[in-house]
This record gives sequence, C-alpha cells and structure tokens, in this order.
Amino acid sequence: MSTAQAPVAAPENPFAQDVDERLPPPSTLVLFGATGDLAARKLLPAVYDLLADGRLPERFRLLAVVRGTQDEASFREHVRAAIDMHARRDLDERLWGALEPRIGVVAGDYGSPELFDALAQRLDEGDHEDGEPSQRLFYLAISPTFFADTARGLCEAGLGRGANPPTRLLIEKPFGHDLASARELNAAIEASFEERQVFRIDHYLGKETVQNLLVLRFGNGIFEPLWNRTAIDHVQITVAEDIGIGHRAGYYDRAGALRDVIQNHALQLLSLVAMEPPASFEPNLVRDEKAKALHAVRPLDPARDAVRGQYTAGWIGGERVPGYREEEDVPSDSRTDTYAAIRVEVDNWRWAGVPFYLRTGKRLPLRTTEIAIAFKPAPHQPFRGLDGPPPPNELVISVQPNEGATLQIAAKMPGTSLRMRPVQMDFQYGTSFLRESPEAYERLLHDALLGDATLFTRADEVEAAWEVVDPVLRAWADETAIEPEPYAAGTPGPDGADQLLARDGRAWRPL
Amino acid sequence: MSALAQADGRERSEWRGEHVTIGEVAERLVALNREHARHEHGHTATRTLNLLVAPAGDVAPEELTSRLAAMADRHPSRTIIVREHPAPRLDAHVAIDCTIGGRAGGSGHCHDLALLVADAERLAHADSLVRPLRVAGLPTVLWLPGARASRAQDPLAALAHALVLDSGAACGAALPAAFARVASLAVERVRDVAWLRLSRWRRHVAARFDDPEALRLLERVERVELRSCTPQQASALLLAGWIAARAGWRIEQLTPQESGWHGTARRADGRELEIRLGPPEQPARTGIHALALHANGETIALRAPVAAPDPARAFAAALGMFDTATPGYAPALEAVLGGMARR
Repeated sequence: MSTAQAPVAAPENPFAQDVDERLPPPSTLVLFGATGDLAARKLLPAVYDLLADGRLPERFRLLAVVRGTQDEASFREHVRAAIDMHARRDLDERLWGALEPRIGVVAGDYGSPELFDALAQRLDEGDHEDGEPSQRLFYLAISPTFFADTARGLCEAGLGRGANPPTRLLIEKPFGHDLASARELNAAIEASFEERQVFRIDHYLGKETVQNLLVLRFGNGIFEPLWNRTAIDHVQITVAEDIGIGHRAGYYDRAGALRDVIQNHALQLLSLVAMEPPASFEPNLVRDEKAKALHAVRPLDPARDAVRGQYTAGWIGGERVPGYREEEDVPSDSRTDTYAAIRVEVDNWRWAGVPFYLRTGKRLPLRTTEIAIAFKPAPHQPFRGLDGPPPPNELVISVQPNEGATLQIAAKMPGTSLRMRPVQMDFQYGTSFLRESPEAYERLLHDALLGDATLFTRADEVEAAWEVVDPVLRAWADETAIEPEPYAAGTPGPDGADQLLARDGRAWRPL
Repeated sequence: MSALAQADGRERSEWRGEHVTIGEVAERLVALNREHARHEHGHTATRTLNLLVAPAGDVAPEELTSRLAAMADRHPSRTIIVREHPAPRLDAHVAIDCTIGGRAGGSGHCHDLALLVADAERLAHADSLVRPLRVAGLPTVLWLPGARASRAQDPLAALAHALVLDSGAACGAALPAAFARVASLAVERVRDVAWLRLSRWRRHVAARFDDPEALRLLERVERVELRSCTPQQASALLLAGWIAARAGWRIEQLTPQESGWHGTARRADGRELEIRLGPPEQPARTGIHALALHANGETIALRAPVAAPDPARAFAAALGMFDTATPGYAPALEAVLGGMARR
C-alpha cells in the first residue's frame, strides 16, 4: 500500500474573482538597445504611462543593457528626458521618485558571454533585494543582426528555455529579410526559447482601431453576414506616409517598401480582415485563424500582381523635397522600392474572387493607414432618370491618424425631387470616446507582462507572410528586372499602381 | 431666445424659458442642434449615453456644473438635470456646448444639456419629463449627487440602466444612512464611486494574494488595519468589507470613533479578529494609503498603489459602466452594513 500523500493544492485567491483587470506579477523588463531611438520615443514613455495608470506591478524593475560605459545615473537622466519629451502624461515627481530607484544598468558587449552572466547575476540580486522572484522580459530593441546571438546568450546564461523564474523574449520587426532568413531566425530563436516565450511585436496590432476591427467584425451582428464574396467587391489596404526615409537610408535601402511595410503591417491587417471567426479570443486560436488566412493567399505573379515605385523630387505641404536617390546615404543608382502595391487573392470559400489591393509608399500626399471594404452595388436600381447610380457602400476603417470607422451610404437629398447623395456615418475615437487611447506600445508591453500573446505575431504567421511576398522580392532583386517606376513626391504613387486596379475596372481611393 | 457665444475654442448655444412644456423644450433642443450643424465647423454630435442627473437639494449648482464639465471630456452625453423649485411650473434651460476642432481637418465635438426645474408634483413623475428628451437607443445612466435623495430619484431610476452615486459623500456617523440608502436601491445596478475608487487597491490586493504564502497567512490574520483620510472613509469601509466577505469573515460590529472606525469579525471556525480604520500617519496624505494584515508577528503590508492622481477617474468609470457589473460590491456592502447594524 502506497504511503505517498496526495499533493496539497494551493489555496485559491478569493480576491481575484472581483478584479476586472489583473496586475502583472512582479517583473523585470530588460531592455537591450535602451539608449536607442525606439526606446526613447516609445518604450520608456510606455513604461512611465503604464506606471501612471497603475498598471505596473508593485515590484517592477527596468534594467537597461547598454554597450559602452554609460552609468546608472546618466541612464536615469536619459530615461527622465525621454519621459519628459514623449510620454502621454506629464512627468510627475512622485511617480518618477517611485520609478527612478528601480532603474538599473548592465553594460557590456552583446556578443560576450560575460554580459549575459552579469545580467543573470544582476537579475538574481534584484530578486534577492525584493525578497521574491520576478518574471523577466527581454526586449530586443536592437539591430536584428543581434537577435539570434542575444537569444543564444540569454539561453546559455540560464535565462532562455526552461528558465525559472519564467522569461519572455520580445523582438521587433524585421523578422528576417526574406522567407529563408525568417526561417533561419525562427530556428535560431527556437533553439534558445520556446515559441510560447517569444513575443514578436508588430506595433500595428497594438493600435486601438486594429483591435476594434475584431470587435467590429465579431462583436456586431450586422457585418459578419456581409463579410464575404457575396457582398464585398474588393478590399483596399493603404499604409501611406508623407515623410521620406529620414536618417534610415542604411536600413531602408536594403529593405524597401515591400519588406518594410507590406510583409508585416499590411499583411497583418489583411489577415485580420480575412480571418475566420475564432472560437474564442484565446491567443493561439486567434493566431491560428490569422495564419490560415495568410496561407490561403494565392501565390503572387510578380509581373501581374505587383508594382514598385521610387519617388523623385516633388512638393509636399508646400515644401520641395528631394527624390529618393538624392537622399543622404542613398546610392544614386538605387533600385529600392519606396512604393509597393500588390493584388492579392485569398483562395478560400469566403473570399474567392474578391481581390485585396495593398499599397504603401513614402512621400505620398498624406499620412494615412486605412482599410476600405468596398461593397458590391445594389443589384437593381429602381431610381430611373437620375444622375446615375449612387456609389457603392464603403466601410472605411481608419487606423491612423484619425482612428475610427466610416460607413458610406446613399441618402435622399432634401427637396421635392428624388436625388441621391453619398453620406457618411462616422465613428471616431476622438469624438465618441473622448478619452485618450493608450499608445500601441503601452498595450503591447502590458500584454507581454501579463503573458497574453494575442496581439503578437507567431513564427508561422511571420513565415506565411514572407511566403506571400517572397516571389516578388526575388523577381525585383533580379538585376535584369525593370527598375522601380518613378513617381513625384507628393503624388499618390506610380501610374502602374493605378493600372493594377484599372485592369479590374477599379480605382484606388484618393489620397 | 437663442444665442451663440464663442470663447476659448468653445461655442455655446442656449435657450431659457419659464412656464414651458416639455414638448417645447424638446423642440428647442432639436432646433439648437440644427442651428449648430449649420455653422459647419465639422462638429460631431457626440453622445454615448443619456445622463440623467437628480441632485439632492443641498447640492450646489456650481458643484454640479464643475463635475459635469470635468466629465465632458470623458463621457459625451445628452445630460438632463432635474431640480426642484417651489413654484408650480416647469422652467427649462437648454444648451449645446461645442469644442471647436483645433486644426484643419480636425473635428470638434458637441454635448447638449437640458436643465429642468419643476415643482414637487411634477418631479414625482420625472420620468414623464425626461422620456421625450432622451436620445433613442443610447443607454441611460442616472447620477444621484449628494448624500440625500431627490424626489425624482425613484421615477428616474426606473428608466436607468445604471445608478451612479457616491456613498463617500457622507462620512463618520452619517455613513450608515448613506450605505442603507444604497441598499434600498437595486444594488446590482448601483455604480458606487466610493467602490470604484478602490479599483487600483483591489487589483493590488488581488495581486498580493496570488502568492500562496500570503494566502496561508490570510488564514491566520488577527487584525486588519486601514489608514485613510476622512473623505475616503466610505471607500476604506468597503475595502474592509470586501476583504472580510472574500476571506469568509463575518463582520460582527463596526462603530464610528473619533478618528475612524473600529470593529470585530469572526471566522467560520469561530475565531475573532479585529478591524481598525484609522487616520493617515502623515496628515497631508489623501486617499487610502496603507493596508496591513497582522498575524502572529507576521504582517502583509500594502501601501497605496503608485499611479498618477486622477480624482475624476472613478466617477468617469462609474458613468461608463452602464452594462458592466461591479463584482464584489454587493458582498462588501452587505458585510459593512451587517457590522453597522449589529454595533
């Protein structure tokens, strides 16, 4: 007869049932690249805004990994300045007084094992001071060339797979530069961290409107019955920027618009529009459906389905701006795409025959990111003798800068005659909910602290997105391929992009 | 009479009338909205709820105005305030306030407000005054400012999805009456601001007891101590009541004292424990700033969660919770009221 006793179950927390939003457990956020631009503009302010909203755990530490010799005092000054300049909330001395002593620095070379040993030791010391272990989040806001080595260094220091206390790895795009390199990177990371520990950030998924797209689709009864080939004529996804490349020539000239935006942001938006309803909003169920949608994309024919362009000098907002090849550090014979448009078909029951047009570009007339769902026209027009049929209904989900949604419908104009005019039913976050939305990075950092991976990209999604664009990238890399089509800065893009839709009897929404 | 006034990036159109009918008020409201639309400033008529307000007689109009102004930036609503006066007639003031979009292409937003002042007989049927003015299809929230009840409370409560009040409007010996008033309403629809002020504290407590060691200590607690400033006594009592209810303790008595409250509670196994609500150690501190649970020489001590001060947050949250339950509130209130009744 066995004498082994049954394990004693941990008592249940009786207070948890009444709390709508849980605080993350004690945590240490380890920031690689803590003195970089992303950290200063987004990550450090996001930490402060989470603190100000009371959303950080009581035991929270920020540990910066820096190359060089920066000391704790000067790094804390750097954090304070970043918060002062970029946080949503004004710097409050009381809050800063709570955060400042919890900020530490570990200096070293990312390639050196000593750095990771020192980091592990520093983390243990923090836990010892606090009297309890904290989960560790490693945020790699560094060049992707260091991702694999950093992940390996962390693992070899006992901070990767199987680590206790638990660890997570947060990485920023780009996840590879083509399908092969993405697979290689995923494999390298998988050797050091389990997939459930890896949180790949596409900051678009942290935006309020992108999440609202899921609520719009699956929280409203009226849209989903129309969300298919029967009612929808086509979909346009636009990620337009009015700015040039700034000081990012080194990165951008190797990447181009297709890699920089279409492969990640635009295809993520496509997957959210095209996905089937998940059974629940459990992270892997949502990501399963997104991955399925990407896998259903018909392989692109680069000559037929893709257009690339490169901006030349022009005028934006009353200012003359240089052409791409005249930008600082850009080769004068660069063939990099600063504009990319693709025509995508999603080969499944829901979307058969409905084209998705995706475009992105630099130096376009304005900055906007939107998803336009163009519905089919009414099958029969009983209003004879009028100016013509009203334009088809359109649902436009604006991701930035004015977050909201607009439904265009036809309405009778006031008067004794029957004349129609398109009118817009508007929902804007700025006016319907007057509260400021959290920044995307606040939401994503908070989710990562809680371990909720719903808004993070899984390895198979990344690879599926590369599979979509890879044939085009290979065709464009061919030295004998036609050069990118020029377009003047401040115009909506190259003529070829208009032809892409004109062939189907359609046109881009005006920019 | 209507007027359009512009100042500080804001516009206001308004109309006042004495001896009016509610039909006339409704027409004026529509007319003012149309007039505003004609100015083509890109204003969006912005409403996410019908906010009915039935203040007690002792609530100063200025206090009401400032609370509503603070809310205008969080909860765009059609606001209908119902007050009492002795004259046997209905007077009304209708206003539309717009914030003008600050940049080209930006849009402003507008709120409208109707103040109805009527005699006691009309207020006893306040629902009939308010029905024609509500925006169809939007949720209705009734805010009951002040510690005492307005005559319009019951008829308007029947229309509301949620009842917003602040049991913290009372303190000291007046608190039992304030809690009893809440208990007389449909508690499941009550959004008590004093409770919502505790949301960060409740998250904090819940996070602390994720630790199994802390949970084991909870079973041995002999004394609960809370330190808060006087205006937060209602919240502090509710926090104590919530902890007791969820820990399975029955509060046996709660007695007001010169600088707080004192009480006892009993566990399911019969052991007694003490509850103390005292003033802050540093008089300048506001809110609830410390909670300690003592057990045989061991202590779980929690200090106020670090966060930016936002005095309007709890009230804003209350207005937005027309379709959200407030789990834990009813047991907390019941525990506190039980102790007060048995003192």
